[in-house]
Amino acid sequence: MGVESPPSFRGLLPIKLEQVRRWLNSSRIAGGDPTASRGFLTPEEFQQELVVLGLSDRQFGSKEYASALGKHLGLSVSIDIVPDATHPLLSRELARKGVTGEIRYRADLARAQIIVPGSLPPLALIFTVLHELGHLAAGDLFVDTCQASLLCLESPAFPTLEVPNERRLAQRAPFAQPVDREHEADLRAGYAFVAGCLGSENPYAQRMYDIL
Amino acid sequence: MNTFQEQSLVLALVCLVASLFFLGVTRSSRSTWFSGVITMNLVALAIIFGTFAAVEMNGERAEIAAALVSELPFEAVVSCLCVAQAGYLPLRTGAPPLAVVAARPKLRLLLASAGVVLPGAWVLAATFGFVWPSSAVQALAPAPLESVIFKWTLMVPAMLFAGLAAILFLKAARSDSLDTRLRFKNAAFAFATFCLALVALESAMFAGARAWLPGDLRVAITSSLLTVETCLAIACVAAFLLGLALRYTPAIAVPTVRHVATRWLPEQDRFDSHRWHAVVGGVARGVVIASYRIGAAANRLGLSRLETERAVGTVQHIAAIRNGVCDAAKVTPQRARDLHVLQSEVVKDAELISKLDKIESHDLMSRFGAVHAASLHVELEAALALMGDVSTNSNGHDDQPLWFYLAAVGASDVGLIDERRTTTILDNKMRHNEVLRAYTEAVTSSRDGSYHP
Repeated sequence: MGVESPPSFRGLLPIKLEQVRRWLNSSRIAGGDPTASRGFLTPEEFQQELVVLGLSDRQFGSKEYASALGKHLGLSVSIDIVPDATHPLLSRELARKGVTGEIRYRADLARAQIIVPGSLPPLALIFTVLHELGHLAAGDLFVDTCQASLLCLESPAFPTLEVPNERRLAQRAPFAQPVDREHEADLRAGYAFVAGCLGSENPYAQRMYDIL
Repeated sequence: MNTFQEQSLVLALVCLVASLFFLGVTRSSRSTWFSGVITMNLVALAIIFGTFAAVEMNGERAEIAAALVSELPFEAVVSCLCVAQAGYLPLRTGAPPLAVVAARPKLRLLLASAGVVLPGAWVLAATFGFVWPSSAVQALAPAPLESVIFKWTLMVPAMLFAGLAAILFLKAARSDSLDTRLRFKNAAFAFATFCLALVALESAMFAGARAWLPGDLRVAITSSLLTVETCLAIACVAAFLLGLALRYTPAIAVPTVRHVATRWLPEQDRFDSHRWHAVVGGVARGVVIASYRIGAAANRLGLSRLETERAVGTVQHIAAIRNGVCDAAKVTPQRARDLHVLQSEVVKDAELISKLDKIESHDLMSRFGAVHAASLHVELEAALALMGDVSTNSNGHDDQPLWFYLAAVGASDVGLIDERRTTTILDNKMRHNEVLRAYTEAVTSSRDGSYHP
């Protein structure tokens, strides 16, 4: 895993401003807003990610999201829906492992492959694909959990790991703890699902045109 | 009263009247953080210009101080606009950046730098002004070069930042997918910010005219520029007022969207995934058998495909909840009841649920939509009712449809619910017997191999 070089002053200013904002937010949140008190992805941040992908204000499905994400990260992202009738063992194996889908990444081919069984209920199918894409967007696939020495504590509660910016869409580094990464992938999937359905009617997209 | 005092009086009156309008805005539901900023600025400007109109400035350093104080609210507004466009204001509520800025980090950085550059320019101008004082607030009198440098140090950065902010608001207003009201709102802010840039330009030109134009021409030009300044100030305030008055309320509320994205969808996914694990992984024994028999019995009863799916889905829900009891982190009766409440809230929002259909045409494999969401709710409700975890309709089970009876019989057949409970909760004996007969025939047919679905 590569380690980022120290950011220049130009790169440091927005980070510092963001830290001030988060510090002020956290001091407010400590007063009693439980939903935002944790350092997880907010819908506003997700909407900014959609702007970067060119999907804000647009209706989109998981295929469009995967395509835009792959283009941004310089990867080929494929979604393979496994027909259970012809591959029942794969579905059964996934079910017994307690997972509904998998993402496989090949660095040498610059390719990510999402595998989900076709027999999943419709919502779970879409959500699983978006969840796996959420891991890709967060840079979770590039986390090297073995290198504990690279742990940097962004906050005492939610430590993060360094992943180069070009390997993720997320503004912030991925979480060190797998449970936190899973939770954030769920959040990203939920935001993506709703944003994809609502398109330009998404109030978070509209708020970016109503800043004053 | 000299020309500067007359001009100050005019501007004080403009600011006073405008601040009254803005006070009205801040006391209404249309109040935002920016309306508060503008109101405070206008009140401050009214007091500052009122003081200048009443008190004659004596000495060049006093004039420099007066000019600096009068420009402070202007610089503050331009800084706030730029920093807000970059997404760093208001600090406490974490507002997003302007959409046209969000994907351009360098532009965001440039806009954010207004929060440092403009106060820096003000301090630099103050230092220069006090070291090399000049007549900064004389309206028509000739001025030395120091006055131009002082004024330009203040005004040129403000003009550039205001011009940039105006262009960005204009780009936002031209976005194709934008609601008309938001389009007008951004256009109004673009116009107001453009007026701010013109005020700064006018102020810089005013200083230049005083320094370099001869006699009568100087008087004529500077007098015209003062009139232009007043007109621009009025236009700017009116445009900001219009922009703030055009309040936009989204068709789907933010809390609803947050609720769906962060609570209902993850919980529904957890439940559906667990249901799938239980059925496909073969953990929930009997579900496949019951599903097969329900399908056959539904054919005999003449049930529609949707009704059959609901009966099978109900049995799967019961199996998932029963199976989840072993793993409290996944699905428990309590979590199922919580999910049922979440579903109720979502399903009754017709506007929102109709939007879920839109994903169908955009997704490679999705069949998810309003009908499916409603089915999930109905199936879970039926499962909870059969397990005795939630009451059904007020009239009891008597008015339940045939598929509910079929699900009850199927679940009891494979031991997912107690048979005695089935006979207790299915009030309509005639309907119960009809379903039981069809189900028994389906079981018999499947055993002797005569049934072919």
